[in-house]
Amino acid sequence: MSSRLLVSLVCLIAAMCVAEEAFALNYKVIPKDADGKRVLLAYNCGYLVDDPDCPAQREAFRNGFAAGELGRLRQQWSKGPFAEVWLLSGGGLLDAGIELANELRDRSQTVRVPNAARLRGAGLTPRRTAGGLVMTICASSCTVAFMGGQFRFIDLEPGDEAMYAVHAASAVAWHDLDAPGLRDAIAIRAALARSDMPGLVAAISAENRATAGRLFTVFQETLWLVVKNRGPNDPERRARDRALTQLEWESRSRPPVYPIEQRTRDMALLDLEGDAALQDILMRVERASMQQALAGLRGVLPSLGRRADGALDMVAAMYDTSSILETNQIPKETLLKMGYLTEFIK
Amino acid sequence: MTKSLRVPGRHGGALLLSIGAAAIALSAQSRDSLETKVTVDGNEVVFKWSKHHPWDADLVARGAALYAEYRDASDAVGTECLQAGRAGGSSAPRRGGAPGGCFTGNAVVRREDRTISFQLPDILTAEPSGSVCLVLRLPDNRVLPVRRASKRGDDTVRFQIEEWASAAAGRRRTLNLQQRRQQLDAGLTAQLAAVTQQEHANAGRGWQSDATCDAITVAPIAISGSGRPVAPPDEQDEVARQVCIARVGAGRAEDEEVSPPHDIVQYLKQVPADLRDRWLTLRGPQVERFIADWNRLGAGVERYVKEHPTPHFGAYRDRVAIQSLAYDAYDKLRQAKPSDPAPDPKWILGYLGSKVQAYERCVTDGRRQLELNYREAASLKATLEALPDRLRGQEVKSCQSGLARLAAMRAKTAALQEDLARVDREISALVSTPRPARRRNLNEVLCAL
Repeated sequence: MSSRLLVSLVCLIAAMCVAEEAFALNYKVIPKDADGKRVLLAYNCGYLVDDPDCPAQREAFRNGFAAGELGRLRQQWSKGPFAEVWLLSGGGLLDAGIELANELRDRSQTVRVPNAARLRGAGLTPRRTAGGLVMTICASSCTVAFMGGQFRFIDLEPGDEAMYAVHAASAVAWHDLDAPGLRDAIAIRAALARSDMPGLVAAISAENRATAGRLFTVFQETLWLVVKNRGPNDPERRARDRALTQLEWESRSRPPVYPIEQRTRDMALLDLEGDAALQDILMRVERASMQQALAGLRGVLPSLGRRADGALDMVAAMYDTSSILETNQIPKETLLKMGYLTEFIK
Repeated sequence: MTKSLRVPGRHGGALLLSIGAAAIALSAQSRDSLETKVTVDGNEVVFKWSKHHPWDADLVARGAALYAEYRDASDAVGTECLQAGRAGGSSAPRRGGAPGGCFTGNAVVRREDRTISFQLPDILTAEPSGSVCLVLRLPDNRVLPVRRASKRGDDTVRFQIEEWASAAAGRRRTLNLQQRRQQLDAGLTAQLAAVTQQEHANAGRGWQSDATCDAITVAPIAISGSGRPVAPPDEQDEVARQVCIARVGAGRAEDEEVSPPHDIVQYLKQVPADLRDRWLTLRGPQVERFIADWNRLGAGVERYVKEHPTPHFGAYRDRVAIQSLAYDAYDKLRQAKPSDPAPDPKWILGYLGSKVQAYERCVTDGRRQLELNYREAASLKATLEALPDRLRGQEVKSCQSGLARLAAMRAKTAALQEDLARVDREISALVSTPRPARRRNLNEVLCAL
């Protein structure tokens, strides 16, 4: 291995490990909501007005699903049992969302994204932004955690709709450029992009293959849950996991698709626009590699077990956005039909 | 299950030889009766033997047991111990038990005159389908012959008491019929309750006849919709552009949002011509589409918002965001003072590139979301439309099943009532048979299964 390549790989790994600093979710026990139910509210600080549990300096958009979230959620269970867990967050780390989804499913917990009326019924007031946005939102990794609920509700009353917005995950969102260490990471990535774009594409592709498999598993188990609760040794689950492992293994030997003309254009844009072009290029690569991963999963659909098609559609809907900057606010009809919600049709 | 019994050859042979020597000395236990005498008087069977009997020592020491052998309704031959009421033996007749396990001691033994007395039970354990044969056995299971072998090959061990057998079998049949009647009566009571319950269930759901099943209707299914419009495929591109232009119209560059394209030409003028030309080679088509969409659709935003309280995707408060690094470049441009040297062309091109790219992302995503929502809304609509028919089909099937179940239950009730009446008739027709009152010898009363 050449020393240059070795340096590049070390730099790449370092760059990928840098995450933006974020505060964790806040947890609040609601002893009785308007229906008399005991509820656990998991939310971003700053989403509620006059919230004594949140320090004033913590801004809403700098909070969310953070590392160690699973442990913090587990500490709440001793204060239960809870009829419902309410989720209000703009998201955060995808891995934290997946961990919370699995935890909520293991506990057969009912989840809800409450609207303003429901929060007021519990004695809470949601914050309204200057732009008129009421912070009754579950977006990004919050939507993944939501999918762990055995029964899943979103208050969608016209005129007072809670928002459920999915979007593509990204390792290069870099919302807060002033976060410690982030400028260095960006510089490393930019340098790497200029010198070894194929290597960077390969790394992003591998990362997204793994992410696709994990998201697929979360969504499929959500769709399985209404049929029956399965143990870890369930034959269908084991067969699915074997198929995913096999697919991951086979994918490693296939290089990611990165046409030369695309590479030429990317390099020219980096040359003309500088680092400002970097995020768009990398997010496009992220999305393309996710599409490639999804195509791989579709190729082995029969070996992935029941409801695999529905689960893949859910991952695909998440990546229907070109980047992490856009969101897909899925309307009620689509949420119902695709199985995000467990609303009963009488 | 025993098919038939024969005297074991070894014992039978020895017995015949011994009897030849002592036959004349006895009158009651003659040679013909092989030194035995079996009589019946009322319920008592008395077995006597002479001291010349070859098994005399065994009989005196351990006695013998009386068994009944007969075929039952299934044509199986069973052996039944008749040691009723005797201490050390079974307390009641038992069918199917292994011979020899019937008792642990003698019945009534009068050692001094070599006599064993057996009390016949009042009832058999099963209904015989033919003769009820009796047989004497020693505790080691040897059957005890009571007559000589004949040239015809007649049985040498079995004898019978027809009146007792008839009476005991009759009592068994009576008891069986009474038990059967109890079962039928209980079954009928439960069945009548079940029929009543099913009748109420059917009536409660209006299931009275096939005609009422066919007349079932199900109301259309409705769910409260989102109020979000869907666009058919041929309108999706235009709608996506319209919504994105609406977002752009409200966007502010200083808030990291895509603003209208007015500043593009202005900023490009500050970029050296060669760089601008190279950049336009790459970004030109995106710039042109953005400006063309703005010029064509910008004026229609107000009308669109008026016609659609909820946009086709997203919300009216949504904006088109630019990347943080591109905003960083824009921020440098914005902060520059007129006295500063010319801005770095990378800042300008980086900001503008991100701007047109963000607009293109909005349109692309919008189209995809419109396509997904159109497909899923159509699918949900089809599901909801088909649901009443499916539900009606299920309801009609349930109705028909309810009626069929009731008819089957009524048929079963009638069958039970018929069975009960038949059993009652059979009980009434039973005739009791008197027991044998006269003492008589049984040695020569042959019995065959």
